[in-house]
Amino acid sequence: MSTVVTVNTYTHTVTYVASKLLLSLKEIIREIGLSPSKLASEWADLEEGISTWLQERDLVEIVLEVFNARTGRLATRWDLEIVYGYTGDGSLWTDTWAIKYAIKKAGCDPSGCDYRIIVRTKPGARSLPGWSSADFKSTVGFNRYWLGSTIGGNGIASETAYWSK
Amino acid sequence: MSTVFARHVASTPERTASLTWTQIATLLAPDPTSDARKEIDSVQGIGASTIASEATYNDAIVVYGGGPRVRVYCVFGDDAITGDGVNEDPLPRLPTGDGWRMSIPFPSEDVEWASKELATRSSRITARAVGEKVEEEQDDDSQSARAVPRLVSIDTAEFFRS
Repeated sequence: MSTVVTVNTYTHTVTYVASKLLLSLKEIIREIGLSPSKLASEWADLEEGISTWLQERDLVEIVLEVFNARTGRLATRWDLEIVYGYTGDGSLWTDTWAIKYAIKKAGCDPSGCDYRIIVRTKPGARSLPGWSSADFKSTVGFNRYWLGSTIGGNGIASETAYWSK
Repeated sequence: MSTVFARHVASTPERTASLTWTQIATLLAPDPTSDARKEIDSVQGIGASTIASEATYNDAIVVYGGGPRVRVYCVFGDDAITGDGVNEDPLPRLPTGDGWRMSIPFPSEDVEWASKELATRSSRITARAVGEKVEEEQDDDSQSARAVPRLVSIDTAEFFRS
């Protein structure tokens, strides 16, 4: 009898988590009622950037801001925070159902809204072409709700939270 | 009867969803300057989004109408790492000749936005829901259903005379 042992390297975990982070953003955008087409047009650049910073352990969080396209004011915000050192059971997993359930609970009127994706990195993280600096929109008057871990692998996990009034 | 080739491309966690799409594009249209390759590359993000959802595990990306029919599946998880079930051999004949079409499977809740976005980038590449047949395969089925069986009889006198 032969046994095949598969070793999930850190690079494999990075690859998995990067793709699933974008999958989670797509699910959030669609479930809120907006089109993921803008995300899709940026997918390759986002995935490459996120993979690079994850590999170098410099990615802190990915933030999806949904805002009123006319006023620029925040309508809702979703944070996908990165946790390094996550051990788990060795498997790679994703839970998008928790996100879908939370969106139903949170409720958000998408009419007149647009969205953007901001990545927060550690000080001194590598600069990548095509990425520019940005400031977060004000969250005054919003409350933050934590969902817990929604993506996990060897050494990396993502914890999701959302902001709502 | 048309020729059908199948390929199984390694995806996450061996490759990101974007790079998986690039590998698929390379298989289907290896010349990066060809019109077919440029068109397939233009929908990389949309294709990557469905690969990330793993819709392409059981449902193939199907290319037809421009050569042999090609069905491309993605392999995920441990198998993608070990290469078990992966077949990325170059195609003996390319499917992206004149008249080629591509059908990409999506989770049903993504078909609407993906269809609209694909239509802005390509007239040849369309979305279908996971579990649905490709439009061309539906046509084949209806043609088979309409076919009338023909009975053939042998003229034994003529047969034995010869």
